[in-house]
This record gives sequence, structure tokens and C-alpha cells, in this order.
Amino acid sequence: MAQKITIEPVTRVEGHGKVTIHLDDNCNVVQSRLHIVEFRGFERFVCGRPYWEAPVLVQRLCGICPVSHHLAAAKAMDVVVGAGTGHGLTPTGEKMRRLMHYGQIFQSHVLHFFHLASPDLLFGIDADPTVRNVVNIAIQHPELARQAILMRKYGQEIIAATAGKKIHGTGAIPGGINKHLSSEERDAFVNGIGGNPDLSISKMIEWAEAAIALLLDHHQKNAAFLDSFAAFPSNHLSIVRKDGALDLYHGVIRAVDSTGNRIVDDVDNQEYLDIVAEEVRSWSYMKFPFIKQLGKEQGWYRVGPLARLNVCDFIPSPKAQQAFEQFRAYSSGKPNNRTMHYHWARLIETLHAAEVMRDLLHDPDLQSGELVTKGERREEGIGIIEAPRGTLFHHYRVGEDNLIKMCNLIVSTTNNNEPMNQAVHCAAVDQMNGKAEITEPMMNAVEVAIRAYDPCLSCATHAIGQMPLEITLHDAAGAVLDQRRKNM
Amino acid sequence: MKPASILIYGFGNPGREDDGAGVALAEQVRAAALPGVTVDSNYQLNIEDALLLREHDLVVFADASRNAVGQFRFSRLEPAASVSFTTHAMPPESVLALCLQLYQTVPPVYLLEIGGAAYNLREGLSAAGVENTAAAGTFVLELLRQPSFAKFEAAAVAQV
Repeated sequence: MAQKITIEPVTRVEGHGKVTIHLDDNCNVVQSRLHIVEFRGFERFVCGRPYWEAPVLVQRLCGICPVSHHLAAAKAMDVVVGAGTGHGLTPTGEKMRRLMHYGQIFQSHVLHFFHLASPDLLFGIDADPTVRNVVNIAIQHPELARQAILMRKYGQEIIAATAGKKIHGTGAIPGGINKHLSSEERDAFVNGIGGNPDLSISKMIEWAEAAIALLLDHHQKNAAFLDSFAAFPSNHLSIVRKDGALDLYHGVIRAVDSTGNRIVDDVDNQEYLDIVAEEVRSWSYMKFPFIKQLGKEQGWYRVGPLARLNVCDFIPSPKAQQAFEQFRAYSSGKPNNRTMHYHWARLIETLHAAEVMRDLLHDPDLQSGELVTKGERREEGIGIIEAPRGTLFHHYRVGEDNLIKMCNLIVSTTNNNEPMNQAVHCAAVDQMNGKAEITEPMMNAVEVAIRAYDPCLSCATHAIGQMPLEITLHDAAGAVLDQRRKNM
Repeated sequence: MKPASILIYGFGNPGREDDGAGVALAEQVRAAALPGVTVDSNYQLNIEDALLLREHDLVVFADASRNAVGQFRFSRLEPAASVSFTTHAMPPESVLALCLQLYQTVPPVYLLEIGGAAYNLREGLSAAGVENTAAAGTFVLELLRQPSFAKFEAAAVAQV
């Protein structure tokens, strides 16, 4: 009997999503889809509000990456207030924002690796779920867990110091930033927060290097799985600095195909609508972006750490550059199309973020200098940033009355919509084809494929008691064959 | 016996109506400026909060709840025997388990669930959320005015 398996929602993925896998009469996978309920009301909600509120308002979207939305909106509003399209800010304004952004990248990547990915990697995707978690990491690898906690805390403190507070930060404003970093704050970040040398920038760099070494050691022992699981060719898109360097805060739009041919050649970010379009599919609430010139079928692309390292020419910090060279050499200088290598790329970016923070913390522009610049008022602004999960587009039009009259957002997870569907299908075919019984490890394999992209479905709230996991098995006629539910 | 250091930790997203109830309660407590009471808040709990637990003698987590808790419910938390995860966030019991595992100690931790009614994209609590948060705030401030371990424990037991 043909079957449809539904996993709803996906565990350890933000918000609400479900996976449906259709099996034929022989239990072969014939179709796999990831359904995500994307929140679209926000764009209407922000219309009618004064433009200067946008950098704070947009943080309501997400409790996971509010800093990315905060900065993308601020960058768009920089254009509106005539502060230019990326490099028009004062040195202090741009560097304070960069410190905030790289602090966010650092803590977000650390969380993903240690909390979400490492249990799968270190215990295996077929391990019992009661031991495949971060608490068991603390039991089996206590030093690793302690480091992860302190690295997260370090990044959070950087955000609080630059954004002003943990929730709904106000640091970035149209045209710049609203505060300096005090010399006391700088000294604490350099030498150790609260006098704790384990909370110093040198420790962050040391531990980020150690994390890469851990992953490479794991890779050496499990190369067959990590190289083949949910691997598929794709295009890759990100912003890069004009000289081709990795730059997560600002740059031009570049894309390469699966073999490395340049398909979008360093386009100004204000021209993104010439490059990217979005397709609506009847079975999903989330749109499917694609590169216009390649069309809907061929134009989909990956974003995020893997894509960024495939697109850039080099990393402008020495230790991360060294790691990058090893990463690129593994795929003979060509784009790396292996889904599980997102984890490797993410850790290289973690090291880069730590090196960038170190350099910024030693820059005197953070303690003095003009905070804000403004110029000729414009009615439209676009802000693009590389958020932890990938490229994030914010686009606004503002009326003469200073009220926002149009807002369009393409968030990182939306950019990765088709790649995540491809990954789900690869994992389903690999793990479930010809199997008469669906097991927990098989279900988890599908989730592992999705988790590599670190998706964030921003509409989620986190009240106690919500979001149970439901697994439903349907036959060809749609009748429920089996249903399991567990609290999360 | 009196706890020397108490942490009131509200979590949730204030931009999503009653999801911000825990944060609103934390602000009520902050305004009271009680000696020995530290207040913190964030969008959600996470791994680094295990470190925060270790630094206090008694902790109260405050969050909105979709459970049938009436205006609020106050209960003692125990480290999770088995851990399952939602997403990027951690359930309170898992933070306790992580703290216990890493630091071999965990203080008494209580969960103050505040009945939520609306979770839309809007700043500010719903009318019911305001009422429930005020009631929960009165309750916890009473516990904090002359705090003792026994008083918190009795309050949690009384609500079971």
C-alpha cells in the first residue's frame, strides 16, 4: 500500500514545519517535501510606521536572529537618510555595527554547532534521542560543553554592549549607531569579561580553532557519510567584498554554479531585483527564490556558510584563511556541494568572526568619533546582510510623510527553501527506499539534512506547552495509518 | 534560611503580545528594586543560562504559558531526566540538567507560568495578559519581600 509519512513539526528546527514523504507500493520514496509556514504578515504590519522605527520593529520577527534583522533594516534606512549604500557611515558607525554583527554570527554559529549539530555528529544520527542531545555532550565531552557556554555568553555580551540590550536592541539607527564602546567594555572583552580570562577574545579564537580540529577529526573517521549524505549540486549565492573577500556585513551580490562558473558577477546590492525573483508553489506557504537569468527550474541556489565559502575568493583574517584553504582544497578548488559540509564552513566562519572581533576591539574608532551621518533624503532603501543562516534582503519605500509604504523581505531560510527540499529528498531516498518499516533514526536522518541549513522559521513564539511533535502515517487514500506525538 | 542571591529571569518576545509576559513580569520586579534580587530577561532560554543558574542561590523563570494554568502557576523545576529539544531554544528543565551536569550543582529553580491569550505580532500584552501578569507579579513580589527557601517551596507545593 502506498504511504505518506508526515513529520510535523520538525524537531530542533525553529517554528512550525512538517515533512511529507510519499512512498509507492514497494516502499520506494517517490516524492519528498518540506512544508514551512512562513510568516508573511510582517511586511504589511511595518507599513504605516515611521521609517526610523524599522530597525527596532523588525526584531519582533525573530528571537533567534534579531540582530540580523536590526542591521539589515538599519542598512536600508541608511540609504533612505542619504548615508549611502554601505560605506557612507562614519568609521565609528560602521565598525560598531560590524562588531555587533560578528558577535551575532559568532554566538549563533556556536549555538548551532554545539547544541544542534554536535549531538548528531558525535553520537550518530541513529543514536537514541534521549542521549543524542547537548546534556549528553556535557556528560561525554564536558570541556567542550563548558567552552560552548562561554563562547555563547561572549557573543551575547558583545551584542548587549553594541546593541544596548539583549531584547529589542536600539544600537543601529538610520545613518549610524547610537553609542561608542567604552574603554572599560573593550578591556573586558579583550582581557576577560568579569575578570574571567576564559571570557577573553584570545580564548574565543583558541576554542574556535579547536572546534574546527574536532570537526576535521570527526570527518576523518566518518568521511563517507559526511561527504555523501544529502549531497547534490547547486548554485551558491552571497554577498562578497568588492575585492572578493568574505564579508558578512556588506558587499556586492555574487553567485556561482555548482562547478564554479560565475553566474552573478558582483552586482550592486541596490539592484537585487534585477537578480532575484520569487516563485509561489501551491503546496507551500514559503516562496522559492531563484536567479532570474536561469529561470525557476535552474535558478535556485544555496545561501549560508557553505555558499559563502564557495562564492568568496579569500577570507581576510589569517587563521580562518588557513582553514579556508584546506576547505577549498578538499573539493579541488571547486564549489563544495556536500550538505554536511555546512558544519565545516560554519566553524570556519566562527573562527573568522572571532578574528574580526579581535581586530575591532583593538580599533580606537570604537571609543571616539562621529556616530551618525546623513545626506539627501531618498524614498527607497535596500539593506542586504549575510545573516548566520544566509543572505537576508530588506527593501523599503518611504513616503514624504516619513511613513513606510512598502516593505519586502527575503529571509535566509526562504533563500534556502529549494535546497532544503532537495536535501530532504536525498536523505529520504538514501534512508527510506525499500524499507518496510519507518524507524526513529530514519526520521532523524531527514531532520539532520534540514538542520544542516540551520533554518529559522521566525514566526515561532516559545510559550511553555506549545509545539508538540506529531508523526502521522497516511495511506494512498489519505487515511491515517499511524500517529505518534511527543512533547518537545 | 534566606537565599542571598535570587534571580528573576523572564523570557519571551515582547513583540508577540503575551509571549512577552515573562519579560513584563521581570520589569515589574526590576522596578521594585529589591535587595539581593537580580533581574534578567531574554527572548528564550539557552545553553549559557546554565552558567547563570550556578551564580545564584534561587532562580525563578517566568514565561507565558499555553497550558491551562489559570492566571498563573508556580512550580518547582527538576532537571530533565530525558531531554528533548524544541529548536534553537532550550526547555527550562534542560537548562537545569546542563547546569547540574557541568557544575555538579543546581539551585532551587521555580517556573512561573503566566496564562497567555494572544500571540500576534503586536507590542504589548492582551487585556488578559496584563491582568494575569499583574497577578503573577503580585504573587512573586510577595515571595521576594521576605524571601526564604521554605517560603518558595511552600508556595510551589501549595499550587500542585
